[in-house]
Amino acid sequence: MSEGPSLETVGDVIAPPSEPGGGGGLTGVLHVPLLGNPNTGKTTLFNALCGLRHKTSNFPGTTQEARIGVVRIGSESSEAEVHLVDLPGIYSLELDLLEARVCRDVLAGRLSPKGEPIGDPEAVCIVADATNLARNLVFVGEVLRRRLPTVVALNMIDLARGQGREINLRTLEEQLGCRVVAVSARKGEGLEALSAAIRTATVPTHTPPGDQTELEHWADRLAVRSMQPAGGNAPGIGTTLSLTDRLDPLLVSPWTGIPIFAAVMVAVFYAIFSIAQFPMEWIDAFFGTAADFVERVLPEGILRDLIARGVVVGIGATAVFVPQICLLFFLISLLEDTGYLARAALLMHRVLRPFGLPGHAFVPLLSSHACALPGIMSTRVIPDRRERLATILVAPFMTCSARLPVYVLVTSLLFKGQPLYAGLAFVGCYMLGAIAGLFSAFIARQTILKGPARPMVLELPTYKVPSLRTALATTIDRGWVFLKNAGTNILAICIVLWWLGSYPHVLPPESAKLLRVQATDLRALADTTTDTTKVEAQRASAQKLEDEANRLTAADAKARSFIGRMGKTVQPVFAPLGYDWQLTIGVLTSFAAREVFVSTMAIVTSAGGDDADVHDEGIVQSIATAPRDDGKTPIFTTATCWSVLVFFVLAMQCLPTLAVTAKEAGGAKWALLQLVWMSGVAYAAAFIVFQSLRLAGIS
Amino acid sequence: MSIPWTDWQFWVATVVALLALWLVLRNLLPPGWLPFTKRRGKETKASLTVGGKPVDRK
Amino acid sequence: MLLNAMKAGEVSHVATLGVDDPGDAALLRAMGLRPGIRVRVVRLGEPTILEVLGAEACGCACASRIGLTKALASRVRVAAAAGAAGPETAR
Repeated sequence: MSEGPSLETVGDVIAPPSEPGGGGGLTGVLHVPLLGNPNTGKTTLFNALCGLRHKTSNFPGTTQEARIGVVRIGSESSEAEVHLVDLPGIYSLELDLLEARVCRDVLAGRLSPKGEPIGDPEAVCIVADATNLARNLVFVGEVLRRRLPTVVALNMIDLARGQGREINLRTLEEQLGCRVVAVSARKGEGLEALSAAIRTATVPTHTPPGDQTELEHWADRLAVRSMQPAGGNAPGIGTTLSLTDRLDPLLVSPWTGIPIFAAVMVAVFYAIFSIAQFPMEWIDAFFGTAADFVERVLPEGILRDLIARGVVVGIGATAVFVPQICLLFFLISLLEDTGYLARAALLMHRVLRPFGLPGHAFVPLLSSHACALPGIMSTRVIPDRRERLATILVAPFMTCSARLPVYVLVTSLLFKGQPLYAGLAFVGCYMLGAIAGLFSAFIARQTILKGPARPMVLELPTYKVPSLRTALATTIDRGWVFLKNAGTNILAICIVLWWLGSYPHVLPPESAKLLRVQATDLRALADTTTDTTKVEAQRASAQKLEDEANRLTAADAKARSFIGRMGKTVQPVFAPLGYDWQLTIGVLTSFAAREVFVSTMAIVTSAGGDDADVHDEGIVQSIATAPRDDGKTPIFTTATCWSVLVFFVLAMQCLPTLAVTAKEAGGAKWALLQLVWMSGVAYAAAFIVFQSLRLAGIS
Repeated sequence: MSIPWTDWQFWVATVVALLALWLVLRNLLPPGWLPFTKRRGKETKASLTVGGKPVDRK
Repeated sequence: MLLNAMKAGEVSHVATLGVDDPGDAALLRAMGLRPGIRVRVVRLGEPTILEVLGAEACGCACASRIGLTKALASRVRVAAAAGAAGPETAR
């Protein structure tokens, strides 16, 4: 790690260009966009300069994300506060792509992230890859043509050194007409010099050629001039195959690539599900305790009810998924940093292309297996608009974590004591979701999103040891976005459902009243009994009667509340699928959050309360045997179970996801389409399953 | 009574629930449909140029 | 000759990019795949992997790796390797 300006040339000292107005450079608030080719370590540099604190917002009028970090440079008396804006990586400013347009507009002073003032940037920092100088210099030239105060950060200088190249910074500076600072974002070298250079940035003294071809030749010549091999020997074109040369074909060809990919995915998901379990249990327990605490501390009343059963439950329902989501993003970020995901995208392109989806879609679809919300947001990497829309529309088909409690419940009902079959059913659910998604994409691409399949071209970055810091920054970023988006929506819906489920108030049913009377009698008896051995038993029985009364009251209250009445009214719609009104209520409430299904069924069937645990044998047993209105047939017959399972695999029951779809796809109509399509598919599939089983004699 | 009209807590809870409902719908419906949401200003089409030459939007 | 005709490991100059779509052509060019540039084939087929080596005079200094579908790769015409005709075959 070097302190102060790093000197990379052969012995020469570079003096900073003289600055009108004092030696320190600009002060005050500086708005500095950071741009460069993809894979130049721009994000790593951004994280290194700004630490883990940064804000993520949007460029108004686009779905393009903007990250803004603040770097303070200088001392007390003359301090500059740099607002560094991380622009998307692009290969050229002149391309007809959204990202390129955003960069052009920012440089022209026409566009700024939400919350930042619009205007010309005070300085521009270009990140260039020292190991790929010629191509990067073309981009540098394009930016220099804009004639803004510019600084070039020559990143990955450590890798270039390792390859035996020494780059003459002075030559570069002379020819470019601006400061060039050698940095290694990964190692933290040169960062101070870079900050200082940003402050003292000046408009370039030369302007590169305007014609693109001339610019390319200019860049080539400059690259050659600036590079001196160490010890005078030009590294020739190697005739022996490097490791990368040997590895890439393996990863990318289907016979070897797919097993490797499958192994990596299994490892990733296994890690997520096993590690995340611990924090999930703590969070679950924490919110359970929080609800109890609220009930004890607050005076009895409606607001206490709202907080304990609406707010706490709502926040808990989101919070419990945060560990899985953070872990997923952490691991994906690490994988991406190594360079493997680019190879996997190429490989997956062949698999996804017949369905009209590009290789880039596989990471979003993969992420959607934890939660569709961040999955849909990561579809931004897909260059073609129609392909991106298709991916957004079908992402929720991938089985997300929220469906798991439902799967666990229903498979326990179906395969009691047969874990092997239950496991197979589980896997079947995952596959059903994926297949439904792929076929839906196919249909979409043949009809409303018809268009040519974009040929895939992707840069394969050099393999690197992944950076924990980058992964951490990404995780915090994404995790926070999830909490904000999903959190607010799920909380809001839980509150609404709480209200609908609490009113109108009803008087407790006769059966409950009877039980309470019995319990009171029993307690009175216990108080007067002389035989001490019987007292405990009597008190225990009284307690059981009271618990039963409570459950009956709760179930009755639910049934006669607004949501209960809605359930009964809507039930005929679901009758062909084999659901009675109690199940219908469960289906309706799980629009808040799918996992709410379990606790709803527990309450409605009076098997338990809000904290019903799907792993609780007792609860599952009660739900399994809970009867329908006729008093005899269980709610969950075999056919009904399969119908419910298929329905939950395919149905769109996640309002936060709909909201994100509307936002990312650019219109509520896409969310509506998603809702209608998925609901239709789910209904049809559940219908077919239920009726086929009935016809086959299985009820 | 089946709905506690006289209980002040009920009103607070109901207002909260209405706010929650508004929040949910706001994220779903196009801006301008709900009260208190900004109607998006009439959108104008601007033509895209690259270096002064018009470009086809794909 | 077409890129497809090369063997893995061979180096040649890119002559023309016969890509129809101007957007795709512009992207390939911006990624470094342009007339006059030397490329080395790492893998042929679907997908094709190329190592982009930079212009003649560059030595071997600048290299990046690009993966592309066979459809695109098959549109690229190349001229034989080092010492061959100058790289000025215009698009």
